[in-house]
Amino acid sequence: MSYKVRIPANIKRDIASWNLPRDMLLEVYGQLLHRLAADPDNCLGDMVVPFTFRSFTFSLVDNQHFPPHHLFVFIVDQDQAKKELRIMGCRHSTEAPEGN
Amino acid sequence: MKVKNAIYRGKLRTVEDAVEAWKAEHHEAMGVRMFEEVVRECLAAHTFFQDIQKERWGQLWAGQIREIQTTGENFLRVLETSLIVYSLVEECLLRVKRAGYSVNGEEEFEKAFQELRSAAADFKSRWPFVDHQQIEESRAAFAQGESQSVEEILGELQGSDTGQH
Repeated sequence: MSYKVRIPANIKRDIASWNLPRDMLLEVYGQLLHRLAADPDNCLGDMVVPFTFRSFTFSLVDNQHFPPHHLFVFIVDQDQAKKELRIMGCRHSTEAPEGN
Repeated sequence: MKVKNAIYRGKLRTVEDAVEAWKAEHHEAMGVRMFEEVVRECLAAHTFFQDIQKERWGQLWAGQIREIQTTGENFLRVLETSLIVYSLVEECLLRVKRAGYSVNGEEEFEKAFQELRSAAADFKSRWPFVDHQQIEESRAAFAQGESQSVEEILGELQGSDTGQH
């Protein structure tokens, strides 16, 4: 059974503040809905100390805009009893021009 | 990852020890040639640092870092130690210059120090560190029932607003 992913209002605002191209924004939410919700145990990385949350990390490439490489990290609170994944944090980083 | 950090910290300790030894032996800014050895060591350490920096970002983009927060914190500590050690070297460099001497490698050192400052600022702003305040805000939002499912948000984005719960 797939999990339900819930996003608090502040995280929704933070994601909007990244000003991603529309297609990429849809893809970001798509990753949460189709990848994370379907198989959290395989998607979630190690524990994020000092919390009991885990991270879901993925990168996307957009060759239409600069910079092309975008990295996304979501901090996730997994409630196994309710089959719910609560997004507690999110970070977005882009590749520097020199490739770092 | 940890191995290279350890090697680099060793290089920094060597520079720091050399600076302290030079300061103890050369109160009157004498021994400029000896100080140039310190600068050379620092520049060699800097080359190593550049390799580690490139590697860390490369691993992040390649999805090879599982513990992003811990890795970031460790590297940030390395950067902060570097800034302290470079400051010690710069302090001695200024002392030698004030005494009227020129130092081989001075320009390279200043360039390396500037690169290090930029790298530290860039790392702090772009590495995906956990934002503790954001997590607290999320807790509060969930407690107040201010959340939506991803399906609802996608629905909104696709033009079929299904309302907020």
